[in-house]
Amino acid sequence: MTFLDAQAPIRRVWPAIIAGIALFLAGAVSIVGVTVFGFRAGFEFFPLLVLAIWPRDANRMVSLLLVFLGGIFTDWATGGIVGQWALVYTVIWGVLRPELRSAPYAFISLFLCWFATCGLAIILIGVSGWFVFSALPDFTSFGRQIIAATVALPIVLVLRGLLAKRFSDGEEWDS
Amino acid sequence: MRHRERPNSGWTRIALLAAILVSSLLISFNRGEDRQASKLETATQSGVAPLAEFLSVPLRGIEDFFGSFTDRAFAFEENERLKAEVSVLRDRQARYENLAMKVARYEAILGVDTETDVPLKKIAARAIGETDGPFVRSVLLNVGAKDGVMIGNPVMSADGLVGHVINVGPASSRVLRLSDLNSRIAVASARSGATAILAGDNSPRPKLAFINQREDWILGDRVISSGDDGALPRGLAVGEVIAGEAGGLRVRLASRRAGIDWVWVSPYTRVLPPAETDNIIEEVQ
Repeated sequence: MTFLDAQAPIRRVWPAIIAGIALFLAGAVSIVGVTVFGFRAGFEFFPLLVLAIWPRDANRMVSLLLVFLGGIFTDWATGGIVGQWALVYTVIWGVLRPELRSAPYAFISLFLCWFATCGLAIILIGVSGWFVFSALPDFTSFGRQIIAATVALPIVLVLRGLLAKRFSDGEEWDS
Repeated sequence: MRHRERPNSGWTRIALLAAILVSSLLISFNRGEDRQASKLETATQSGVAPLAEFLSVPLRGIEDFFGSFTDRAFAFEENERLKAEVSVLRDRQARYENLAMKVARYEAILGVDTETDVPLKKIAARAIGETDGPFVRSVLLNVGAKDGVMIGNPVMSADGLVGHVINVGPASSRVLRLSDLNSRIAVASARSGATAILAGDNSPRPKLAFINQREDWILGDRVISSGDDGALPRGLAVGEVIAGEAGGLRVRLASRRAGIDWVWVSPYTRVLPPAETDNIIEEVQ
C-alpha cells in the first residue's frame, strides 16, 4: 500500500495552472542572460527550478499537459531544437513525480534533487543535441546556466513559500 | 476548483509516455536539412520579445554596474593602448585618404565602380535576448519586417560581423551567430584574398574549413566576408586567424565580446543564381 492509496488525495487544478504559468514565464525569461565580469550566464535552466518545486497536490494530467506545452513554448522562444525542452521537462517531471513526495523538501534534499534534475537535463539535452547535430554540446554553457539557476534557487523557493502560504498550504513548506 | 483522481492512475503514465514519444518525434524532425521557422515559432518569438526587452533594461543596468569596476581597473592600461593606437591610425588615415583619391581618379578614367557592395543604409537594433546554449547561439533583435529586416541580412556590431538573420517576425528577428553549429559563411583573407568557409562549432573561435590555398593563410590575417556565395556582401570584418588544433586554423571573432547590446542590420539583398533570377522574372511577367 502506498502513501497515495492510504491518503486518497485530492488533486487540484489551480496549483497546476499557477505552476504552469510560472513555467511559461520562466521559459520566456530563458532567452535572456546577464554578463558579469566577462562571465555570461544564460537563464535557460530557470524553468527547471519551477519543475523542481512543482506543487505536490497539482492535478497530474493538467500538470503534464502544461509541462509539455511549456517545453514546446521554450523551444520556440529560444529558437532551439523543437521538442528538446519538451522532452527534458516531461522526463524530469515524470522522474521527480511531485505527487509522490510525502513531505516538503528539507534544505539538503532540495539541493540534491536540484542537482539531480540538472544532471538529467544535461544528459537529455546532450543526447538529443548529438542526435540532431552529430556534435557534442558546449559543456561550459551548461555550467554557466546551472550556476545562474542555482543562485536563483533560494529566491524562487522563498517566492514559492509565500505563494503557498497565501493559498493556505504554507505549513507544508515551513520545514 | 477540485478534482478527485484515482491514485496511481495508469492514464498519467500513458500520457507521460505519449508526451515523451511526441517530443522525440519532434526532435527527429530537426535532423538533416535546415529547418524553417513555423508561424507559431515566429509568433512565440514576437510574443516574448517585449518581455525580453523589458527584462533587458535591469539586466543591462547590472552589467553596466559590474562593467564599470572592470573598466576602472584597466583604465590606465587602456588609455596607454588607445594612445598608441591613435598614433598608428592617424598615419593610416592619411594613407587611406590618398588611396581613396587615387581610386576615385582611376574609376573616373576607366569608367568603373569599385565600391564595396555593403549597403550604406543600416537598421539600428538592440539585442534583447541572447541564447548561449549548449547547441544554439542566437540573438533576438527588437527590429523585424516592419523595419525592413529580411532573412539573410548580415548583422554587425561595432566590432564586426555578429551573424545573419534567420527568422523575421513583424517587430523582432533572430540572428544566427557565427559561432553557432549551423553557421557557415564564405570568408577571405584580407591580405592574400585566399578563401575558406568559416564553420561555427559552438566554440567562441569557429574553424576555417574548405581552405583554398592553405599557404596563403598565415596567423594574424584579417578575415573578411568574401561574398562568394552571394549570401553576404564582401568586406565585412569577421576576425583574425589564430592557430587551431592539429595544424588547423581558427578565427578569433571581432565580435567575440560575450554580451552584445546595440547592433545594426544591413538590408543587403542576396545575389541569386541566374536560374532562380529567371524564375522570379517569369513569375513577375
